[in-house]
Amino acid sequence: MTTRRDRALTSRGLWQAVLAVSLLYVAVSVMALTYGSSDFGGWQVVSGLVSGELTPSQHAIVWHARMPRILFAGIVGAALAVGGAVFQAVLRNPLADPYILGISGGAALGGTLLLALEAAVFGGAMTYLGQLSPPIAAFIGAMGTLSIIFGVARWTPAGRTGNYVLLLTGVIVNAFASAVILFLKSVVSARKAQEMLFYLMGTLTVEGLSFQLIASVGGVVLACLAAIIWYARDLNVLSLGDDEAAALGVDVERTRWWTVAIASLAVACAVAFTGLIGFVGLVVPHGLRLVVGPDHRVLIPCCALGGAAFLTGADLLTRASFAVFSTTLPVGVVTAFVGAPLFVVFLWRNLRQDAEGVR
Amino acid sequence: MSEPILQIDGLTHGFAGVPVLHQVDLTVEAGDSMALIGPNGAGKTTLLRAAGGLLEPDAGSVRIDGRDLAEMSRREIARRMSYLSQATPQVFDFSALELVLMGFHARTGRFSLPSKTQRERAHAAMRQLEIEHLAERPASVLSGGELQRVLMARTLVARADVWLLDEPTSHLDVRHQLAMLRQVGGHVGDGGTVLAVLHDLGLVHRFFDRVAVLKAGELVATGPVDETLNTDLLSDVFEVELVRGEVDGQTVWTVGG
Repeated sequence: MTTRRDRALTSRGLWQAVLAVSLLYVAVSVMALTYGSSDFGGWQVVSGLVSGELTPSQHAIVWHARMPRILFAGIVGAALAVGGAVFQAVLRNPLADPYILGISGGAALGGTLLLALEAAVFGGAMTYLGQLSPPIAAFIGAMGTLSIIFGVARWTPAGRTGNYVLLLTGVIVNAFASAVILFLKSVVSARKAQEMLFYLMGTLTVEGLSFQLIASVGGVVLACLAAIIWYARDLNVLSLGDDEAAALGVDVERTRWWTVAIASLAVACAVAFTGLIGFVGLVVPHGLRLVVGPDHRVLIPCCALGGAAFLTGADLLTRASFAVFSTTLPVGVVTAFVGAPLFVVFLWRNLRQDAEGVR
Repeated sequence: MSEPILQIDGLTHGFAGVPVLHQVDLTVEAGDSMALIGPNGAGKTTLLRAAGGLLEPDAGSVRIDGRDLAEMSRREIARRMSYLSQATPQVFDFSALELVLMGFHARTGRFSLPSKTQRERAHAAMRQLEIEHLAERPASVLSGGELQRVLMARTLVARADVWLLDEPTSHLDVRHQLAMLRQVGGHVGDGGTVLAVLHDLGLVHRFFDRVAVLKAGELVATGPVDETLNTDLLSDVFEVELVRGEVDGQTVWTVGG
């Protein structure tokens, strides 16, 4: 057998991978910034931005329409992809996605519950409900389910608090939340049900998307990302199994708790505003593992950038599809259309590489 | 006299109300190679996991050099003891080399990447176990025996004083069983200590100085291998008549009758 240079992570390999995915993200963002239904696009945008010579309407298009949306897509995509990578490692389940622990169920339930309550007349109660917006309700819902799940995990007798307790509780919470959502959809008006459906499909058309909001959500997601990178090496070991991880020097329960809580926070922040966008957390980590390997020290930063690029690209497609369908598709539909076939390709490539015995 | 390197006192543990270990006291001195034997379900793996601090016992204590494991961090314990588990299937495709390099986990910083020296040591350990050619193989395509040797190479690079080995030869052919257990001899020769769960009594005689015998969660005998293992004891513990013999100066046990 020929000797090949070993693939274990080097700092050079790490920076090369991060740089490559960064370039991809920048390229997709520039494309998204320069593409639009107005006749203001392409190099016009780039040269206008560089020279600073933009008409007021061009300025509004770039800074108030496209830029916030691109930045937000990047933040949400990063949160979803990193969330996916973390849950897959911690639960040792390649099929885990950012929603597996019931975050989707909780967030969706919170959001739809508020939409439903708005429809019902509650007299004085509306004064209080008026203070809430679906994102806040969704965030409360997501955090609520997380506390239920961790409560159950802590509650179970010692020695049985393995990852499968988290997994099973998450599945049950999701199933229960789906049933309640279905119930709510059945009892509200058709118009309200349509509104709920759009929310559930996932959309980046967020009302009142200000730079202030982007900075807040972005700040939380970035802080979560930094914390996950802090745990990246432990995630490698944790993905081997509880006993192995403990034997190699990782405090398993503590690391699992923190990584899941931090990743959930990032995902909850993102989905609270956008609704449920599927496949990002599944496709991006799987695709990147094939390219950069399973080491989380390189995988996590690459997932953040790759997830940002993926969702920005998907959003670009929804905008482009306007020309065909005369309506803006929910971005969740595009991520699923693109993500599902990609996932099959990655799976096939993974199996083929296994068969050849090389990564 | 100095503290024994590993001291287990009154260890009692059960799973879901079913008692597995009952009041086990075991002392392992520095430089000992001790085999832990007993029938399936006797509590060998549970005892080994408790010794490695991988489970919190219902009662009793485990001390290393006089320090209670319950007061030590996982990292501190990992620097003193290596635990070789029975090879389990891998979910993510770390290469064999990456798995071996994880042996440095407890001794390196959070943001440090494998150094050149560490890579060389990992390759040397893999060479010793005749698996260097597998370095770039993803874990999912390794056979059970190959994975077991990869995990042993990881134990070598971790350079801990105490090795806790759970059936280190279970997936190996005869030649590799011998190669694996020679590592035990080498470690003890270097002043290290080994506690290993084993099923092959012949190998116990050949590679271990001392033996501890577990039956139904209780320690029924402990001492030097040749003095401790006799027909009555083993026939009682394993509930089958065992006969001792000798082939080329090596002790062997076979089923009688």
